[in-house]
Amino acid sequence: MVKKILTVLLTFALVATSVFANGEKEAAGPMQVKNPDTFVYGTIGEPATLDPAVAYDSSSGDVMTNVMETLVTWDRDTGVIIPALAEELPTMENGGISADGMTYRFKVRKGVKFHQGGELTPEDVAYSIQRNMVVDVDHGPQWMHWMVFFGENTGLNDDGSHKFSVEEIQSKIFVDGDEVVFKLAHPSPFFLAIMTGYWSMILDKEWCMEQGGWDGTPADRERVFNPPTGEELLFDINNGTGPYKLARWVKGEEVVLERNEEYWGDKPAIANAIYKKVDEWSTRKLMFLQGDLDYAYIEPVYWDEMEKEEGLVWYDKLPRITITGLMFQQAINNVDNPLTFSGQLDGQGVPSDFFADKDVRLGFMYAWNEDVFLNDIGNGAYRDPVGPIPYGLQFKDGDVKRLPNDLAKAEEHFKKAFGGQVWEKGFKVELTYNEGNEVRGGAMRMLAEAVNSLNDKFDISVRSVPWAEFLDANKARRLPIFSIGWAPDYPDPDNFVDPFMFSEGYFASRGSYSNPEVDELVLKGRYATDDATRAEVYKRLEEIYVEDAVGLCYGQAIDRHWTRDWINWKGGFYFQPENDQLFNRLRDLIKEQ
Amino acid sequence: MSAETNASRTGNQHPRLQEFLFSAKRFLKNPLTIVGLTIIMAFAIVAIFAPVIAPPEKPDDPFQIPHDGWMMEPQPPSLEHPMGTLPQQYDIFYGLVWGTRNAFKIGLLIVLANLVIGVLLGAIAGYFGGVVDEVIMRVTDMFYAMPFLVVAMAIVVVIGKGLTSIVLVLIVLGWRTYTRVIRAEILLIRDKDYIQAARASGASHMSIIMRHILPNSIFSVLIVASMNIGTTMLSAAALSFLGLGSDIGYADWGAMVSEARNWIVGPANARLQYWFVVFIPGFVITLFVLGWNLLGDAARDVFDPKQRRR
Amino acid sequence: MVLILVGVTVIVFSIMMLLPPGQRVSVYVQDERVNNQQLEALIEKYGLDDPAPVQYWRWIKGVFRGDFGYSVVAVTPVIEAFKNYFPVTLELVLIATPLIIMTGVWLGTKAATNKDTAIDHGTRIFAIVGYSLPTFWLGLMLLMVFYGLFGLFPPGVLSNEGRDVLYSGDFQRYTRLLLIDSILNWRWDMFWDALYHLILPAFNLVLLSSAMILRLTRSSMLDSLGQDYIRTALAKGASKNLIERKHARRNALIPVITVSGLLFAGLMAGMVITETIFNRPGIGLWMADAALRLDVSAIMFNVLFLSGVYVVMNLVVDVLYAYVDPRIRLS
Repeated sequence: MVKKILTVLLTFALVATSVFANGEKEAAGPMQVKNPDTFVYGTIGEPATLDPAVAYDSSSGDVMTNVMETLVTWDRDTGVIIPALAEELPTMENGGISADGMTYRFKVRKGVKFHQGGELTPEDVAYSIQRNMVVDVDHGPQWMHWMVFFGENTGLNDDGSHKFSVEEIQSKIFVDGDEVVFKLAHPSPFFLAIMTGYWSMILDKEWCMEQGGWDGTPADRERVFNPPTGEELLFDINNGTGPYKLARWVKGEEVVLERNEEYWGDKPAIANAIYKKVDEWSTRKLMFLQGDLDYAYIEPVYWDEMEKEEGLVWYDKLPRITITGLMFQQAINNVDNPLTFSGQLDGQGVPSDFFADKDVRLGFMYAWNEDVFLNDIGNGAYRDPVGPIPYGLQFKDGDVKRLPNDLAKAEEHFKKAFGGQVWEKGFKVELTYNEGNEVRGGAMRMLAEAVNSLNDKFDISVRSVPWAEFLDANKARRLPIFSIGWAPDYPDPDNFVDPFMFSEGYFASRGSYSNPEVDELVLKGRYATDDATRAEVYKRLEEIYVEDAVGLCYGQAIDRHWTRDWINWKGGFYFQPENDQLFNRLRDLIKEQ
Repeated sequence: MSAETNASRTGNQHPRLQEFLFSAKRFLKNPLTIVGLTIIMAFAIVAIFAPVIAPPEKPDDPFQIPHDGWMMEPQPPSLEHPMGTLPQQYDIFYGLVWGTRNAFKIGLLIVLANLVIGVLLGAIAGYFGGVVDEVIMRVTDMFYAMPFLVVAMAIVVVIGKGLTSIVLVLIVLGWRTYTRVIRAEILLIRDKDYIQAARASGASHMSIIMRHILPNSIFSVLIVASMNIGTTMLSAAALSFLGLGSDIGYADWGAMVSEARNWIVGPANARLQYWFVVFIPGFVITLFVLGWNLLGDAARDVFDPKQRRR
Repeated sequence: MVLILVGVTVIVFSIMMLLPPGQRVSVYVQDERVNNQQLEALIEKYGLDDPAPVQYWRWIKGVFRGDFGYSVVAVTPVIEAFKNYFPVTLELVLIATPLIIMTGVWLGTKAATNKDTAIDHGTRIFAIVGYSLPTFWLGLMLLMVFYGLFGLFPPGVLSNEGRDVLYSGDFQRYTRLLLIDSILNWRWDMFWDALYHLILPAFNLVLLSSAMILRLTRSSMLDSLGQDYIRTALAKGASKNLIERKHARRNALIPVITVSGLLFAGLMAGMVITETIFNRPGIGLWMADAALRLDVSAIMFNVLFLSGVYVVMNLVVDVLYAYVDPRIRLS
């Protein structure tokens, strides 16, 4: 029997080595292009839905951007807004924008066909935006439409009733002759930017109704309003005008697109595209190396090892307009909160208003070492944004300075905090971050270690928690310090100062931060239409962010796109910060040796 | 079962003790035992002398692995880090040494707790019979039918991840085997004369269970338990691996292996560059489990009379 | 039987209900840009703050209507997800179970008939080591060496080319089991493709699980070799080989049958780790995702299904047992 086993093992080893030898031979010459007609992208996760009324995540957006279109979009090279399904960009000069800046008129491009044959009309455009607002799921993107058309952040009252009737919606968005008219609540410098997003994508009205969608009447509103997850009409069916059509979506595995041969614009070079879910990094890496993927999502941690591979190209230093940071909770909910231990300033916990003391916040800020973060934890994938407005946006002022890493200063502020009691008694607190995010975890641990090193009585521990626990604790304001990350809905400073600083914004309200001066400035910047005022407002806001130690914005992502070397670009590589995912640039890719 | 045979045997020592000594002698002569014992003793020494082998930087929190900077890429073994480092430069050697203490805690604590719960429930069910038996055994059936890992994962997510939760969950789910085993044993002896006699002489239920029934049937359960220490370790490590255990930086073997998931394939020309992250912690777990399984196997061979007389 | 299933679901459901609605809502929320009002609205929408019995009743009513709800992690209704994932798991289990039993029985018989020889000790060590290896570690090591170093046996279920064929429209999916469908479609390239992807995970399972069968076979073989009638046959000069095959093995296999049924159920439930490591989108991978993200409908369905498999296998084993061992039938 031993002999038998030996024989089996030996055969096995022989086979293995012979295949291995072959593999080496192949590696010597350039690898043949695999699947020349198909572009394969391997990444984490998959779309949640393809319905523009509901989708609010970048995976969904990546796929939707290829199959549907908006009235306006970003120019690939200059980054200004250009017409897409609109015939021309409305301006004051051509009469497309009214003198008060509150009425926009769009002419719709002629001769555009939906994938299933319908022709694009102004009615389709008006219906699409109305329909998206009528469907309006909880936690969806439609708040942006409510904001520009009605000046409200939501379409619902506190008791869940509708703030605005269907007639009111239709009085804001309607067809006038061959034009679609949009009436805004306020003049808005970023209305067009919002209309580039996938929440404003254009559907075929007749087709939608045939599928059982909203019939356009007020009476039908409740039937389609706020559907449960997965039951929205356009969840996995699609009929857009985009350069690709949806071929199939195998849930949990991949979304497959095929070229729209009738596309009105430049026809894409690659016939098929696959958005493939490969969550496990090791698998993704190997598939990429074997040429089974043309483009892979690679976390910064692994960039160094990937540089040593052959047959790959990467586009470096692509500034994304995102911000990652930390926010202090100024009114910690201490009821049943294990994270603050005793909940008192007795050395065995922290009181509810611990971070309301500016000296405590400043102590933490001075303890932060941005250089170590950028070099080690961030592994070169971030730059220092200083404040909440990322570089690359209009009105970013590069002159505002971060507080330096200065432990003596940190000590000084901790000694002043709570009249000296913090320093004397010490404190104990636990910080948590959402598991799986080691960069955020590393940042928190580094801050904790630095502060702990100041005084033996300081005891900060750090722990990761599941998403559910994180969300719930965050909702209940139990997290003493919480991680924040923001990618913009529309690329304007307003979309950053609002969540980070405005008392009703996502993070500021969650962190109980409220500063009347800030609120006034945010609103001033939102409705001002002249650049000088806005520049001044946003600079001042960033100064306040640092002076007031509202939170710690430590990273603006600098991305790298990794592709096989057989992927080329029509007209050369370009990067659009407003549309920063490579998969939605499919139309400009070429696959050849 | 063993009680019957013992009673008929003659000798100047108490028959049960004699049986035990006889078995123990055989047990210690078994080469499997010796290997297993050596492994476990080695781990025990490491656990006991952890503070000497790997002196902690912060003695009040020794399970926190010290780290050398914040770089994410694991570094290969060096003089300073004899077994290399994990991402964020946590020292693998230190983690393994202190992780030994946790490993013993997990294995012994869980099995002991399972044993107590399982034996109590099984004894009650077997002794009283009737409705009590029916209820307890149906509940046991339910725990058997549950898909173990799925339910364990769900519970850990509910009560919060971490080593403590894993221990708790394995205690809650792990007692079922013992209940069945001990109940079966008790059913065999429940109606034997000496039990009837004790009952007739007015002994309380509790004292009958404790003094007459358990001592005669506990052996088979102990054998099962000895076999289970290793498997329990594996379950705990599996849960850690799935991301339900401690965070990076805590001395827990399972959590250390889970770090390995992303480092299976090294860079070009050195595909096995990160072998130490994948290999070392997993190998240590295997060794530890192997030690217990060798002991358990030998114990079953020797102490289980059915097996021995072959 | 039904009682057991109901009991299991009640227990698991109650555990999930221990969490506050604020945590259970998390499965419907993908990122942190959500405010408290929106969270409250979601809790309201899915009735997460209703009393636990009400929610259970809602679930079980759905079960009787055949509606198991929507699995957020699978982005599809639970039943749909199950139809997609289950064949992947079943295929591996169906391949692995016979291999495990064959390996175990073969080695176990060898060990028993060569008791106390080198072969016996060798298989025994094999069994103990197999018993001691962490599934995930062995899987990772296999991947590291075979795929990482040599580029063999890729994870997943099919190559890209294979997937293209699968969805090309020419490939009929009768059973959704790739191996069988490939034969029915007369596509041997697909067959080999699917088989190629099964080798490593199946090998992993065989190494780990055959130990149990091996031990069982060995001890029950020893049992039956010790029986009087076998000794008699031996004494009468019957060939040792014949006895092994005809008499001893047959009786020895009875306990093996019991364990094999449970092995099948156990493999189903234990697929979480194997599928995670080998990236096979089966119910194990789905369950791991579901448990981590608290996808209650998916968890409940799988708990019910796997408990059901266990209970049914138990029943099957009982019946088989009676069939193989006439003594039981009589009593």
